Amino acid sequence: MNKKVLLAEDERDVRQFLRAALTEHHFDVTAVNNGANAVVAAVEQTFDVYLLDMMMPGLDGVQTIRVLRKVTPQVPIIGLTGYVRQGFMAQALEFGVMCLNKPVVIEVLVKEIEEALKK
Amino acid sequence: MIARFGWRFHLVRFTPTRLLIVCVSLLLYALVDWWVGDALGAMEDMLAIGPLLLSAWFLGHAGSMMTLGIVVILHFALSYSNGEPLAAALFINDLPGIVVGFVISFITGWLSDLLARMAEENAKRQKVEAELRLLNEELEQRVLDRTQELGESNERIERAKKEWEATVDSLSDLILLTNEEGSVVRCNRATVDRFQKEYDDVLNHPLSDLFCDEGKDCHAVFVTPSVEYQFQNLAGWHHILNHQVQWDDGKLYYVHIIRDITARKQMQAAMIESQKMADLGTLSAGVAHEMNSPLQVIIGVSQMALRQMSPTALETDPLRSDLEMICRNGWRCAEIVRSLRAYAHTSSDLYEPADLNEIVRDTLLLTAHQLKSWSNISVVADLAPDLPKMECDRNRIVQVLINLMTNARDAMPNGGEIALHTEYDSRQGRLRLDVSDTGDGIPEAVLGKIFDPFFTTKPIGQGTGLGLSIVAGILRAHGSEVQAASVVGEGTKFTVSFPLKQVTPPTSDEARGEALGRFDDSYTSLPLANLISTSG
Repeated sequence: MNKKVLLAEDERDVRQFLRAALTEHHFDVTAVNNGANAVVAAVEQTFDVYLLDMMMPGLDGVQTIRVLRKVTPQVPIIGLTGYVRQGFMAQALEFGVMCLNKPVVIEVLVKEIEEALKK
Repeated sequence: MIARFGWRFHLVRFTPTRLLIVCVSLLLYALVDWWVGDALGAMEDMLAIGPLLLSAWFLGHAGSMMTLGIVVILHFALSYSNGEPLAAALFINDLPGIVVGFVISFITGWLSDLLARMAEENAKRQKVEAELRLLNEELEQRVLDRTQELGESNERIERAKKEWEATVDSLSDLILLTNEEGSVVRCNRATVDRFQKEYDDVLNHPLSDLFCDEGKDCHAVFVTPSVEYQFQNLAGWHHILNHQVQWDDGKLYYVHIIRDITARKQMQAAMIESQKMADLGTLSAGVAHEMNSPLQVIIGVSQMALRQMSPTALETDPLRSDLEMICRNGWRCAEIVRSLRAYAHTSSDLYEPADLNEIVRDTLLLTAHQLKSWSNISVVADLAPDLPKMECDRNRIVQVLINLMTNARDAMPNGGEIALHTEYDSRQGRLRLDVSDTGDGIPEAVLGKIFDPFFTTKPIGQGTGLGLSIVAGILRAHGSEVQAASVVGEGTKFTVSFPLKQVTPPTSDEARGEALGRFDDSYTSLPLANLISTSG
């Protein structure tokens, strides 16, 4: 049974790449294009891990984390960032969310997801 | 018996009567003289003349030389004591007697008059002399007073002069007074000290000789009211103020005040530099944001495509090398962005006490496998024992060291030695780190630019030109300095001077972000090799 990943990423190409790459690594990926849709998806379905871009229009990464933590506190979250504002990363860390810098090597990301799933 | 003076001399035959009459007449004269004299003045002579005539008559008849002498002396004495001419008649018994009497009377009168005048003159002279003496004393006193006043006045002038000299000499500004010809009339101590000359070498010499090279005209600098200028003969920047003054003699003079503003200029330059870095930081953040997502796609997709190629085709398919090329260059872009990122946060660091030697050792350990691949390059560490700890952001100092070592490596394409040296300068209370190489060296013309962002001497594609500017940025944020000394053909030595304490504590927000940044680094997808290759 493949693990289910919810991917929220506003940039289409990145989203497509990550979905393809993670699928290649045997994850079931549901991809959405912003934070609000991520929350909707999280309410409608069950996921094993959330993968969030920190910089999104509308609900940004941190705000999405805040909502998701309330809705599904047990699901681990991994952040992705273009390293723009460190404030984002610090705020994410307050929720126990680790952020990875883009560009990320897919193997590293997979390893990170697997680590998160073990917890 | 008649006594005739001058011709016949008789002895006076004193009869008691004669003697009595003489005595009475003399007494009468004396009385009249004494009693009436003071009261009646002019009457005295007329009244006194009677007794005198009487006594003289008797004396003439019965007189002798002796009585005559006595009477003359008495008359003389009396008359002299009064200061009056003697009564005329002394002897009137006969004509010669009268004549002699008058003559004697005249002579005695004249003598007494003379003596009286002499006495009077004497008295006058004494009075005048006394007055003169008084005046003289007064004059002497006045001269003394005036001398003292002058002395005090001179002292005041001298004191005022010294006060002004001390005031002007205490200033660090150069102050000069020149005449219309442009020769120095006066100058303060700072001027001679600054030029390391004697006053005589400055005074009466043209101002331009002092400040400007021969043949170089800097006259305009000394006539413009206010100007900033770099003199040939005086290091640094100066602000020159020129004032025109007219003396009492109608001549024109110029006061020049020359202030060293090098420190201010340097501070301005540093501020511009720091503003430049801040702008660059903002730009870097923007670039990082815009670039990282596309790079994620470029790198990720090309790697994925490589993975998806059939293993058999992997060796032969020309697509493979193309994809690898895309991937490699994607990483290279990511590296540049990553290097830029260092700018965005050079001034917000979390400082903790750390041992510089430990940082050096850890860096060497961290880069050990990398160093092995650096062909023909040996690393020698000469670390001073017992260094005091310094407050720093440890990871950033590691980055500094890696960048400096990478720079050294790149300077030695044919191999060589990198020497690391630490020591504590107790006098300045600073730690020193030297990183030297035995490479090509840096030409002097280039030496001033090596810390500029994007400056590189490497071929296009081999260096970002950011390595050393990141070093400078990190060190600036640490209140540290880095200096480069180089001899072309012999090598380059970078000397970093660290303070033991940091003066500006980072805000908690910055500290948190920065801590995360470091944490984040450990999750980076980049191997150390890539980290090292960012320098340049």
